[in-house]
Amino acid sequence: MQLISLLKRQEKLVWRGIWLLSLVPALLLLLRFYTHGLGINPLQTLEKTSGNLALLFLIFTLAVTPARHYLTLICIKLRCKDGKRLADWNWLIRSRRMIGLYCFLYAVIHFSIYLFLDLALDWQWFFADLQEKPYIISGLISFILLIPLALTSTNKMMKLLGRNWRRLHKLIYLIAISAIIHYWWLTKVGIYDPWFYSLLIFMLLAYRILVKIKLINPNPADNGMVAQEQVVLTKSIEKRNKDKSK
Amino acid sequence: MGKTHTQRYSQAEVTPQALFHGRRRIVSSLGLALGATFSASVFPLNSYAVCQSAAVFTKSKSNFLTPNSYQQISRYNNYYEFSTNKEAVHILAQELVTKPWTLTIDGEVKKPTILNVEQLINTLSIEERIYPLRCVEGWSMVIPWQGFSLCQLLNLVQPTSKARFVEFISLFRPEQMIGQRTGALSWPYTEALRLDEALHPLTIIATGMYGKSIPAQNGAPLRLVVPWKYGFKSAKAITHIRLTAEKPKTTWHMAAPTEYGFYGNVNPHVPHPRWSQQRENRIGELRKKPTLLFNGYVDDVANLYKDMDLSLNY
Repeated sequence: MQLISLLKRQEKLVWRGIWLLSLVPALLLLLRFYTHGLGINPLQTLEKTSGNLALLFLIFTLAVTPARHYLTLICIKLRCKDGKRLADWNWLIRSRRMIGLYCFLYAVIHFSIYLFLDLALDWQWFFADLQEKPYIISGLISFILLIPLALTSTNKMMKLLGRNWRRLHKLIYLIAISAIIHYWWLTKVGIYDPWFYSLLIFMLLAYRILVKIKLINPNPADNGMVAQEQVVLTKSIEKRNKDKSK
Repeated sequence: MGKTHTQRYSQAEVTPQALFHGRRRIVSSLGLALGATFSASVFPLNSYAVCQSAAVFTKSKSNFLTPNSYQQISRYNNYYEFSTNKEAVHILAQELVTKPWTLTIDGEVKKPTILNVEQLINTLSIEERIYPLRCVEGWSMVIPWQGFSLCQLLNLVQPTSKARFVEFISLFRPEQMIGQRTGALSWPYTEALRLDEALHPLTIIATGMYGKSIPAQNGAPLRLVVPWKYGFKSAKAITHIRLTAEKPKTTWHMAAPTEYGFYGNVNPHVPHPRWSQQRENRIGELRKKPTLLFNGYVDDVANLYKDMDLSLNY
């Protein structure tokens, strides 16, 4: 169980590791593109893979809160030396913004492929798609709603928006539902790929509902925001100290 | 060997594969020689309809006929009998035994017949047709087929005056077709054409591709090809052809009637809830391009549907 304390102590390194790891699928896609490794229908592979990745990273962001909760519980059960407090897993919360931004990055890639290759930048086709294809609308809703979340992800915006920041970022639940509907609507009879993502998102949203109706108690004293606010606080203190020293 | 309209395109546009041309000459000369002897002796030609040569038909867009590679065509197959994964079909389809193979033709015909494939290939004149294939899912390929016109085949059995539709029933053999062990679709796969569509000179039964015998994953040994219709109309591994007075029930239409009509004509003006029919992804190209009405064969087939509302009869 040395690992848990190591992860905690080497937070900066862990953060960089996650950053690098999250970039790997994008690099792999690029590599496959240039080595003709995308199969017979590269456009479809690109669209599908980028969409799946965006959804996967959305799931990762949603998983942070429950993961932290259950990892703590597991550590208590196993009587680990470290990891028995929610705060031991704060590095997870502090990586969440980056994971969320990766979700946005993959969504941007997904949308760009649609715009530049599928639509070939033909606006007539775009409006026809909007009229004919419900899945385009649900996909677009998810994408558009991700934009304000990405834009307000900075510490500055968090401070500026105060309580409203949390309210705004609850949009992620709507984005997740809309994205799953998007996936189902574009999938043909006999294909079951969306099930995997649907089940995960269902569980992650159900967790929130169960917490809300108090069937699950994730330590009400610490709802994860404390850790995030700590960052803001430390950053501003650091900045003040810097200013002072000047 | 009947001259096809596709022969109007230069050799360079057709295919760079030398093998293809070499084999083709052998195939066509065989077809000519054996066709002459067999059609005279085995099947006396009391023709029901004079099969028109496709040479009389024009094609509006010649520049979109650069064939896809053999690999692209043989490794990207929509063939639910094996898998819904298009790139897995070519592996799974190796299980299929296509020899011997018999074709039963019955229903509203004067001469119900059971034929084996070798007999058919030797009897009927084999032509080369380079057709674009537009899948309802929004991708397309250009494929150099070899085959005989369906009209020739129907002439052998002589449809009765009651015949109005031609039904194509594909192989049901779950021990070799792993996808048939699930109920993804109702098996056997069944497709159908109106008799006039079936007799149209563009409609063929393919027996070869790129000068080789047609690969299992592309519908060996007998595969319908109707170039102005979406790919799902082209039944693969046909074992049974039935001429009927009533409109037959077709597989995809039964599975999702609002999405797949009986006609399945390529039509950019009739939308599908998932795939855009206004544009297509030509395999080998990264950007989509416009889809043409009747897949580019407006001049050839529009008269078949002149009194019909195509938005209702999709």
